[in-house]
Amino acid sequence: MSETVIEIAARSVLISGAATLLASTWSLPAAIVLAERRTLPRIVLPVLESMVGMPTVLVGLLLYLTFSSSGPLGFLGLLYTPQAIIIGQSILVTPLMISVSYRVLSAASRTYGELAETLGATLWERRVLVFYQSAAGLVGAVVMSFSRAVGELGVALMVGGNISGYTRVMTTAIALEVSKGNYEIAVSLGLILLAISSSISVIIRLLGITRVENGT
Amino acid sequence: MPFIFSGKRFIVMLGAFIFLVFLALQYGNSSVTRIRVATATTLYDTGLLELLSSEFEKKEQGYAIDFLPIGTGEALKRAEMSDACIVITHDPALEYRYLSKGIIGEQKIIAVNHFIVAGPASDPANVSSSTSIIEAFKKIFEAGERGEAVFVSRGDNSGTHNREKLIWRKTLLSPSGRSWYLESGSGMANTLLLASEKKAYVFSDIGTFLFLKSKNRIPGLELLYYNTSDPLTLNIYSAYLVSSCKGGEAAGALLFLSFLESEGQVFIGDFTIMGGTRLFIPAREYEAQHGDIFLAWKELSMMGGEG
Repeated sequence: MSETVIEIAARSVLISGAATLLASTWSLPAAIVLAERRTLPRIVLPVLESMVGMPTVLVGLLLYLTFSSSGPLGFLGLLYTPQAIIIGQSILVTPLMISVSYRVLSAASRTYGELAETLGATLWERRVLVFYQSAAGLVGAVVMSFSRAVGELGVALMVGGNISGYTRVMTTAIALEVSKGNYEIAVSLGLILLAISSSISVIIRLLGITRVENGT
Repeated sequence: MPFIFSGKRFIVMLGAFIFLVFLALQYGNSSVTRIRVATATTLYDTGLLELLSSEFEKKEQGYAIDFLPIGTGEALKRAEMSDACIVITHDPALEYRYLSKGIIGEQKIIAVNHFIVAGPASDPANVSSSTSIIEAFKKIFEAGERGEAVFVSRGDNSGTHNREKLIWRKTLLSPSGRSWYLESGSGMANTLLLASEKKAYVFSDIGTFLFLKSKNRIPGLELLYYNTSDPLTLNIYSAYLVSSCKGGEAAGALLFLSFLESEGQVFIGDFTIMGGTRLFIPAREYEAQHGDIFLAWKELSMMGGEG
């Protein structure tokens, strides 16, 4: 292998971390808005929940066709760049992040939101309260989305191209080693990936819990 | 009221957040010209291409070669979609179709090796006594029908798979759908490993076979048919410039193509695996011994005609 496992692992974490952050910029607000409605979630949520399990290679193919030089967004020159993977994974994890966040937020909205309203809070005051009361659960949703992003293969392979030293991430490196017949290397890379994603989950959750305890 | 403080903190966090996302989107940007090379996996998996690109990048500053190891069929498809600047493939018939559509051009034949048949050491079909690849395939078919042999095909429309289908057509036999004819639907290395497990016959390029054999990964397989003078087993790797590729990337791509044809030939010839076995014969060297390689390519390209 022409680059170290550490480089590939670091790239995986950076790309999927960025994708998760990007996804949360629209997923969390969308979940907040959904949590305030009664009928809208009944239509939107089942659709989102069924999209959680979409085959990543299908999402990857659709994004490839979009980012391709002959596709509608080809002029951006994003294909085979880390940015393309970031955007792709952020779209991929959106249904998961919205549906998990919605569950957390709607519970908090019923408990605290309605109380705040009766005490005369404005819409934004109410939203901020509900948001902070749900913080631990929302961190969980974000961590879950990160795990989905860092562990997916289809998008990284199709729009990233598995370019050594540039867009090769843990999952595409594993797929490549499998295709080369190096099963032992593939398994050890898989274990490293699991170790990384689980330790990141643990760290973020620990940080999240202390934060919430200090804040309230 | 913690509310108000929370509101401020919320805005600060939001700001930090947007900044982080912005930083993330800048990640990986640099000033080198990237040349997208879509390539056959059999060439990439051995490590030869990365050696060639690192030598090229040392010689020509300011370029980075990005290999997309995706297989011959997909590589040409991506060329058609303008998503590659160079393709390196090994399927003359398919390449000819894309050449005649004007999607690719500037053909450089860079390396050659041969297709082989491997199988169990017991060789129930007696492939090792064959004098041609067509005879070898006929023997496997007969042994398969007798229930004595199994054959594993790539089944993925790769260069190797297309050649295998071409040889079956030449035998006038149709193995598809037979219980002894399995399709792995995966790459060469995976298919060899599967064949080794199943003690089956398999059609492979010599490079991938030797590569795995040298690592002792395929104990169930022996080299049974390897005939360098059988024209149907000649495996020709060509590099092409994709016509839609323009600007600085195309200029760099032309430099890389001429590098492959000149200095690159030495690296291809010197590329060995454990035990000093060569995996590829540089095109120049092959021509010096066997005459015009383009004629051999032309002949193979005419045999295609997907049935």
